Amino acid sequence: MDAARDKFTELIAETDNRIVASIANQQTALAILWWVSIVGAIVILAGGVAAALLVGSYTRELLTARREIEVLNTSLEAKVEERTAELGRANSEIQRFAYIVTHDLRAPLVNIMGFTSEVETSLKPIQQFVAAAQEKGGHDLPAELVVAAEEDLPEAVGFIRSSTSKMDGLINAILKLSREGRRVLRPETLALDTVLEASAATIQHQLLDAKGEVQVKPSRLSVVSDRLVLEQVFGNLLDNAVKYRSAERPLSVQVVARKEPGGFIAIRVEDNGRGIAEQDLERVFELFRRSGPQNQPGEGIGLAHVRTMVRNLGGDITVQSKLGIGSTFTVLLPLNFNRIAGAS
Amino acid sequence: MDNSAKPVEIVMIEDDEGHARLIEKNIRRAGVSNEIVPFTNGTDALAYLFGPDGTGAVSARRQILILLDLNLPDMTGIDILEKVKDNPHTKRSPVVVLTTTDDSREIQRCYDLGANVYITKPVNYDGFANAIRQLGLFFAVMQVPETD
Repeated sequence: MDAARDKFTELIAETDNRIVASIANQQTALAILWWVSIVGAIVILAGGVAAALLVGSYTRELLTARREIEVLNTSLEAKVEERTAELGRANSEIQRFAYIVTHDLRAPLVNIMGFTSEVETSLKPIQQFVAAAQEKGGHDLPAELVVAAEEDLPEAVGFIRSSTSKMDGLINAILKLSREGRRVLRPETLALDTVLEASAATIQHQLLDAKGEVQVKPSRLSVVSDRLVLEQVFGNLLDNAVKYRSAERPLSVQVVARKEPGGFIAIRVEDNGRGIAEQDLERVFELFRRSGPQNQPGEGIGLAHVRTMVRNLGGDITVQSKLGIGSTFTVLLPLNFNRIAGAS
Repeated sequence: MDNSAKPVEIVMIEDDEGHARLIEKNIRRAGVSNEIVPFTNGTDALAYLFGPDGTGAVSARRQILILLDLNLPDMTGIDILEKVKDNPHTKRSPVVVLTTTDDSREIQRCYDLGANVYITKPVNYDGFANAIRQLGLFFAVMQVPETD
């Protein structure tokens, strides 16, 4: 029994010891846990602070960057405005220049034409005299005098006249262009389809003769621009399509309009005409320059005029073409001319 | 234009001598035989119209018709027009502006300043000769007032 008690006491003592040890263990673990928690909390706190600092510095950087962009933007806008104003000045200077040059060129031209006319008038009695003298059998007339009165002088006068009238045409063309630049535009809200149909109607007569057709695809777009100028632009393009159609197939012209990014509208005038050689693509827009066989009357003014008009409307015109297959003229126009005009 | 004892004289202010000669020839062809006093610059023309003292008293009781080109070497014709219409002695003298400019603002400005007729010189000569001849016919029937 004692042995059993001893054993029991020993067991209790051992258990006690174990409990004490486990409590000690637990306390150690608790202490560790506590420290771990503290360290963890510190780490989390540090993380939070770091994050906050990071966010703060990022935000500051963002703000600085935004301020910089704003400054850049303002200076960019100022720069754009400055450049636009410079361009405007240069443009009006060129137009003024063209205007003065053409006027100053006209004055001597009137003299050349005037005195040529005087020479012609004075030539008549001389010719009559020579003719009368010859009829009387005037063998005493020097041969040079007869040739001069009957051939050389009239020929010279003829060449002077044809050259001056050609020069007159060229001067008038420059004058027309410079005047176009000075024209006051009257922007209004327009249904694009109506404008294009009206332009197509102006060439209806030529179309019938050429057995061709123009299709204006309805776009239901409206645009704020100058109606007269637009009608002139498209009338001119369509007229060209008829003039420079291919002899091998009936003419077919498609006019398609669609919106473009940036508040623009692109109107494509696509024909199946004779096309333009690649090296002439830019040349066709130049004043007095033409391309291809010269079998149509014209002075090389039309497309130069069209480009001037389109640019005045705040747009541009480009051409794509394959020789022998057809050309596509693309007119890019601002949807709202007032916005462009207001910006400049 | 000889509608009074004193014949009307035509003061032609035109810097281009070729034009001046063509204008004179064509006015004569319309049967106008009045004296034409030509000037090729504004300074001389002003000296003639307003005298050395610049008062315009020399033009008193004259009958003059002024044919004026706007593009002059030393001043614009508009300056002359302004002075002529501003001066009590010359303001009634008819001024015919005959110039190459057909700018609508310029035309308005000339009429505002009191120009009596504005003619754009046609660039082709036949038109030019025709215009001058018609102007000559017009001169032949128009009354030119005596200045004060």
